[in-house]
Amino acid sequence: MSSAQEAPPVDSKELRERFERDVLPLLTSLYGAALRMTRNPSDAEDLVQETYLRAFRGFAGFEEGTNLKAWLYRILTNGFINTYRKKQREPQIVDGPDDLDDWYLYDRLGGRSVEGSAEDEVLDQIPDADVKSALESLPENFRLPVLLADVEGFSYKEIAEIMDTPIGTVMSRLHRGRKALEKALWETARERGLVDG
Amino acid sequence: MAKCGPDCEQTLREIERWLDGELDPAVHTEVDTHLSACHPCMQRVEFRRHLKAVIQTKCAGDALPPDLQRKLEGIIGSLEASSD
Repeated sequence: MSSAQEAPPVDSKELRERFERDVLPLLTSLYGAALRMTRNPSDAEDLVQETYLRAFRGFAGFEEGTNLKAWLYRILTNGFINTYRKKQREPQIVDGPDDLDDWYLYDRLGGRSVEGSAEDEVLDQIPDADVKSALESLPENFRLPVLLADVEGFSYKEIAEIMDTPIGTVMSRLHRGRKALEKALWETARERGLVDG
Repeated sequence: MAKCGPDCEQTLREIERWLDGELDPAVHTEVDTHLSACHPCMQRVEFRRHLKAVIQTKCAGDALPPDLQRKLEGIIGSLEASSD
């Protein structure tokens, strides 16, 4: 080891134990995110496995005490974009819903729920699988920021790093993605007969 | 009920970032102040907050398949065995 820039040698047993201790508890949420990304359990399993291996190989370079969850999601997101997006041949849609009102869902739910139930109750009544489908229906550019912000709880800055995208772009896509999700949820609520109209 | 004051429009534009905890502290406080005095805006905020919670709760909760968990737990050991 002559270069000061090289990482100090790390005990491999200690590294492995730390990896398993810190990463294994995050696998369930990684798998959930992989499902929302790939929309397919088999691809999600492959993506998580690939992420886990890449993370293990890169773990010596991970600085302990920094944001492990964001680091793993960056590997997951890169893996998804590089492998599964190509495989799924999904066109990368840059344009999205632009002309939806800021209060799309609130304005529609107000006073139109069945049996006078409150807006909040309509949301509660939408089955989990339908909310997942609504999120998965969004074009990838909008689905990823909404997933990372609203399901995984990352900050704008973390999402910008995970997606390797400028923060302004993240904010714009998140906003438009949320509107699109509101529209999808509204359509679901109508199909389910939870609202009149 | 009195109508919202003139800064409703401004407040509602900031709500998304306010709920995300992404506003500068001074602006965040301005929104707090407006909301504490404006019931219609607060109702909208409560709806948005609930919507976020519903999305989070209903889109999470997928269990890790036991087969995948076993595979992952064994994978590193097999890597190390093959490199020894």
